[in-house]
Amino acid sequence: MGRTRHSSRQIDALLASLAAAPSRWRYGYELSQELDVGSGTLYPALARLADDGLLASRWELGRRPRHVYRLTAKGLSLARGRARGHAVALGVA
Amino acid sequence: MSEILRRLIAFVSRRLPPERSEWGVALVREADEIEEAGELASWTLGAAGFVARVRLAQLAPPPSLLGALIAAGAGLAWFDFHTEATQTSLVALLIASGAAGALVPQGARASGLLLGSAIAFGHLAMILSGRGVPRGHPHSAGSASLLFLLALPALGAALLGARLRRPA
Repeated sequence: MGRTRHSSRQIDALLASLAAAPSRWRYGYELSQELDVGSGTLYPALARLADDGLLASRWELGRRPRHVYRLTAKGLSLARGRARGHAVALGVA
Repeated sequence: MSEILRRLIAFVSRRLPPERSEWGVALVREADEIEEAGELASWTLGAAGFVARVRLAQLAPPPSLLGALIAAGAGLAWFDFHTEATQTSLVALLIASGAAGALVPQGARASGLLLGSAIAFGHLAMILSGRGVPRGHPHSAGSASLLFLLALPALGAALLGARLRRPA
């Protein structure tokens, strides 16, 4: 399979992180800290995933509403496929 | 310092086009949660990078349009080398830019800038490769660079073409 627009190392790490707790809505800053990437790397990746229907987003209402994210079923399927691919490549599956 | 950065990220985020504005608000809201100034500066810088990428992506024409523009630009440069009347080249440039703007209004800026630069690029390519240019044309790299000014009327023609196609 050739490179796709979702085949960067950062996207893989983002997918893996979101897939680890698929039902949980995550904050951008929280993801940025966990993945050790800046907003200039994280947000283009989030936007690409959302554009392709792999990421759901919504506003978490509160005193100061925040944008939160989690994978869609399609995104979760992609993340799990990637994880299986990595496991096969590492010979642990 | 933090207040300046918060104002800056709010300002930068407002530069996003409407279809991406939600992401700008998200960046600002996350910045509100950051207390450490260094981290806030890094977040703001990243936000500026995100906005710049979105804006550049908007400006960049799709590959098919880019191919057509490069071909049209080469044609314009060739035409310019083979005509002695400057006005004829200028008219051809304005017509081509206006037509490109009308055909693909969303790529009007890129069309105008690329076509408007084609004649300058053509001259520079000939001069720098040592092949020389026909008599009556700018013959040094410096004077040929002034031809980049043609991008301005070309841009105007392309935007006009887009406006005629898609009235405001």
